[in-house]
Amino acid sequence: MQKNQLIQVAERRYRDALALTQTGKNERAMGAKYLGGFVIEILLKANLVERFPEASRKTLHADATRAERAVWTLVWRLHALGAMIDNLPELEAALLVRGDRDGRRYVEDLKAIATAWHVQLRYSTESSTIRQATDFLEKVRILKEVLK
Amino acid sequence: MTKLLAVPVPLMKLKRRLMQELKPAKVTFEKVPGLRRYRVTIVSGRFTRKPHLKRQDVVWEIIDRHLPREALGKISLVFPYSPEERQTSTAKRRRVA
Repeated sequence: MQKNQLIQVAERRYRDALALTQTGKNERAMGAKYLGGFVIEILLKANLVERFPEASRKTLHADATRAERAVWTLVWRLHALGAMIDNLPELEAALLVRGDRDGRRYVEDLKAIATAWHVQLRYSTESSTIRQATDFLEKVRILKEVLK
Repeated sequence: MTKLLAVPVPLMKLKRRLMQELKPAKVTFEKVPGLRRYRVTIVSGRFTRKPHLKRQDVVWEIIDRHLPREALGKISLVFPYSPEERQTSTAKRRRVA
């Protein structure tokens, strides 16, 4: 799994989510948010495999260190956005500088999405509105560009 | 008690600000294992019926006003709950235990 491939996949998932919001139907809102969260997850994983190349391989080598094993698990087994961010301090520092330069809250919005989204949304019986989904996806759109 | 003392001063100041601006609110910091970062849990009636992303916007706006930029990395994630949600999640945990 390489960074460029992951970026392409993230773009596709973003367009899928966008198509759902463009229906204007509240019944599509949760689906849009669900897919939108994956855009961020995939891009965080793209940054993890760039930072930790060992984690890009589907099979982990036998003598992997505990730290390598932890990152590999994040990439291949989990959907824990917060833990992914915790393992990318350089990315967070860069986003903070870029955010100050652009007048944007990239770090804050990234952490907001990492908390507001979770993979169990697929089981959620909660309802959402298309307005909420559009707001969510707008944050995803902006973050997508700086996470590439 | 030891955990409370270990929380850096800027975060303790932030805790007071969060409690003031979201009062009545309960604010707790939990250290992320192995890192010098903290997860923040806030229980406040201000979050009742407010969508999750809006809650995040409210809290991060307060953080941005009161926490020095260089300390922003000390915050991992923020979990804002309404009092009703917190009761429900605590009750669920008790049932599981």
